[in-house]
Amino acid sequence: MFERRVWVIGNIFIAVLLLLSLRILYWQLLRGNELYFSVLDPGAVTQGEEAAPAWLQPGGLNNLPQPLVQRAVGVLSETSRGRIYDRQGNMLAEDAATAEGGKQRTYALPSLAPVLGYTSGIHLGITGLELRYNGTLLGLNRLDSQLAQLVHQPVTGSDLVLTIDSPLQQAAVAAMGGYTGSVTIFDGRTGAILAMVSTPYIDPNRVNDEGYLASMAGDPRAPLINRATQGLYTPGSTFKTVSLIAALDSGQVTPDTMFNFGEPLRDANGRIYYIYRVGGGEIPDPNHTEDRLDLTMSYAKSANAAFGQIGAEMSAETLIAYSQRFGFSAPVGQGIPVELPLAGSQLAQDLEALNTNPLLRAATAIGQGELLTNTYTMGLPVLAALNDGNLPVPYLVQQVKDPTGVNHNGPLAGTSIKNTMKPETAKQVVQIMVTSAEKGWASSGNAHAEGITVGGKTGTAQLGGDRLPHAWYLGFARQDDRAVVIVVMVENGGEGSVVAAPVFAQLVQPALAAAEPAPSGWQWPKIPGLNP
Amino acid sequence: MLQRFGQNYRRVEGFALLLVLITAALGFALVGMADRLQQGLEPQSGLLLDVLPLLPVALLLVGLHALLNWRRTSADQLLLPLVAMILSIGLIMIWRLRGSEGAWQQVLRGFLPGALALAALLAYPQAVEWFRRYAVYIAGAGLLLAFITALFGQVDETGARLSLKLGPLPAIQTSEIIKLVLIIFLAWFIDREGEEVEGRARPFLGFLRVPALRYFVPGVLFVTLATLALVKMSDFGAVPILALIFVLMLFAGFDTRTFATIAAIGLVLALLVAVVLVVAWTPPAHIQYRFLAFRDPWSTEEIYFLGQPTGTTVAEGPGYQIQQAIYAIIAGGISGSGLGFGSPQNIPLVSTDFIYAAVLEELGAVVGIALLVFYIILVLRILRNAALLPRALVFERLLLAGIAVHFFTQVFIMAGGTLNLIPMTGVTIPFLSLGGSALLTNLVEVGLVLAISQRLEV
Repeated sequence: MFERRVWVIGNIFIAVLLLLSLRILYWQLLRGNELYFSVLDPGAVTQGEEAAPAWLQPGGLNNLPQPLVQRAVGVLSETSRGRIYDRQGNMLAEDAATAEGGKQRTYALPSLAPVLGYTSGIHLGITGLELRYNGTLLGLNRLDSQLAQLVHQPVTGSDLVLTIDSPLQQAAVAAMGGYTGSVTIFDGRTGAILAMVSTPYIDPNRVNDEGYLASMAGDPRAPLINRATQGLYTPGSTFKTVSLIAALDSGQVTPDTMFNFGEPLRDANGRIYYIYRVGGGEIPDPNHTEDRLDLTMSYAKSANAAFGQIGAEMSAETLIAYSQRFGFSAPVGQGIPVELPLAGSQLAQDLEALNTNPLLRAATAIGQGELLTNTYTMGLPVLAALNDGNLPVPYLVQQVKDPTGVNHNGPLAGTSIKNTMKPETAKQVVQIMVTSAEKGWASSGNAHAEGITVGGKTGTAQLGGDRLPHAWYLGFARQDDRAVVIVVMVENGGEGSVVAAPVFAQLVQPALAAAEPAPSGWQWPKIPGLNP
Repeated sequence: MLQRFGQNYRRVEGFALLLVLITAALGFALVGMADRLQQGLEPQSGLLLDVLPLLPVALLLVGLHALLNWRRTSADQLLLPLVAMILSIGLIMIWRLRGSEGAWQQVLRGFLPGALALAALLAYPQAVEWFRRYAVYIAGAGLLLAFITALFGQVDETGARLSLKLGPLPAIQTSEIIKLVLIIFLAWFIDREGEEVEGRARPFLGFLRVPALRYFVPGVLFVTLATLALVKMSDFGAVPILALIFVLMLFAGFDTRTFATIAAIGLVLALLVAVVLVVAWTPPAHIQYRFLAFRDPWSTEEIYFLGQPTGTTVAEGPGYQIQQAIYAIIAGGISGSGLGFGSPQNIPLVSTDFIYAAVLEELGAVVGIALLVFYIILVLRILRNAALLPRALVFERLLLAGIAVHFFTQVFIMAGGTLNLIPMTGVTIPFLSLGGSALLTNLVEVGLVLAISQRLEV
């Protein structure tokens, strides 16, 4: 029947129509994000990935089809990008109108470039928090702006309030003077990052000048790197803090355990030193003159022989387990959550080798070996010790303010990782660090001000060859209900007690002033001899 | 005169046309306002001028409506408003993309002659009978025209010969006309031979029926020659349309058993031809590129020309156009960016090959899908007319079915190419794309449908 066959043809056509309609929705709903909106929100793409794709690197957007970039620029020009404030409400970044009628992102504190990153349209890439929170700043992750975008209404992004304290940030930059290196200052109670300095740094207001950006990218001092999170440096003796936590918490030692260093030796200048021999190698210990010390004083005097012995006698599993809790060689995805690009700290190149090589364990326990880390990561064990073993996850964004008037906490604000060590261990570590800052090498960084308790550890990371060691200072300060953790690293600076300690000492009081007072009723863990 | 417009007034058509014209006027006004807004002018000034290109269209449509009323025909009342709606959307997009020049070209070279031809068909519905009577001559003339174009036609920028310039007349695209010629020829052929073919068919393998081969020689010969001419013209987009019209008209025209047999034989032959082609024929580079672009428009694979690396990747070369179309579709979203506020001009050849992507960007998925629905209503309406015609009118029934198939395959090939559902081929989308000959041909087809639909058995 002709009628029947025509009916069949009609139905085939209806099926084809459905197929075409579904194909439209396929592109818009299923592939739209990946193909189109991901250009506006590169942060969404990079989350969970090790490295950003090549086109997110500065200049890499030239790899994209030009009209897509133009389309994206069109949408960006209609979107009011959110502003960024510090904890006191000072403006850190905002869009300013240019003479040509466009928009230009302006930054109040160039020293925050390593943290905030920069964005300039999308032609020259986008980095730092600007990248991490791009979706938030453009309002792409809010339902109301998604609806607005769907019907092509202008979108206003959300504002960010950071934990950064501008005066403290400037004080930290001033304290670093001309040094190359980094300082990270945490609120000791909440983990909020109060200041993060990486020197040298670029001027993010000049990134539209491609020549300037190219010269910065080619600068051998690497000003585009955020040394506080992306740098990788030998930590030296500051790592003894992690060894101390591992040894105390696993029951291997107590604060009173005595270490005998054998017969003193003398070098060419007549200075006394000791040697700890293990696994066919030697750990030299020139840091003290005593031939026996307890654990507390071994830490205070940075006795390599004592910590070499602790490392050699510790099982590799224990060393690896405790190190991983603080971000060393943690498997991908199991490290500490972080809002900035973080270079994974390294415990050893090959963790297996720690099993079989006691000399490597000994060298690692004193902070040499194959260790690599940065000031952000070195602050974590101290933050955990101050809080009875519960690590408050460091964070930079404390609040997201939607233009609708709704405020949210930052995604990491108030989060913590419980039980990185026993509470008793945490208390012992705090006591030992305080003793270290009173009687040990770290005393050169002690501010000695009324009512302030300081704990600390210096580090002088030997690099071999004739390069000057990296100078480190890892310390905390407590005053009443406030506390701060300050980590200083000066690249090739020399002795930690000479170079890094004064930077720490200068920053103790401004940092405590910036730290947030605790809510009423809150109390520090009771530590004998420490609490008022 | 007046009583002619009284009781028998074609109300549905009248109201629908009014609605279409109001919508179209709004569209034209919006394009003009958006344009002035972006130039920093007062958007409301000169609104009347905006609507000017619509005026001849409106006049012609009203004229056709009046003609239909005057003839007191029972012709289908939905066809004209549907065509007018699609045409208006197309005109609005062309005006927005190519300015008034493009819109006037579409009106004067396509719509005006098309509407006049349509009017002629309405005034003399018996012309349909001539088409049947002279189908052989029409087919011969069509083939001749196609070969003349293939050999002596104007060469366009892609190297294809698609159009023929005759004296002072604007160039005509023969490949558009050849499709209508095929429909007329097949309708005539099946009408004449169909019954005899089936009567003489021998049972084969119980279910199947094998017709005598000689009855198929003219049909197959025509399609083969037409395909050769199209390949020579480099109009590869028209080949699948021709093939689909051929297959679906045979399906509609023969009983299922005979069709199944023919289809089986045809499939075997097609496979043989395909094997020969794969072994012996290297498709022209631009056909290869279209397949590469279809497979993955973002591919970074390097493309080769005549066996030599070109240093260009698929994404930079052939994939670029389809990428832009997809970005446009995504950017448009559900409701579209609004007329004049998208950037469909990023898509190369947007006003002819990719006008559907421009509709999706500026008017959104809503209008994009609505447009497909207009097409399907138009096509189903034509098929319904075909089914309701008296059984004796085999030629007319097949002609209608063929026209419906032609419209929809063209929509499918065009929209499917834009949406990367099938490889892109440069064909027009009926009533929407910029293209005089295509619009003229399509309007003649609508005229045939309207003329034939007067003879419905209701």
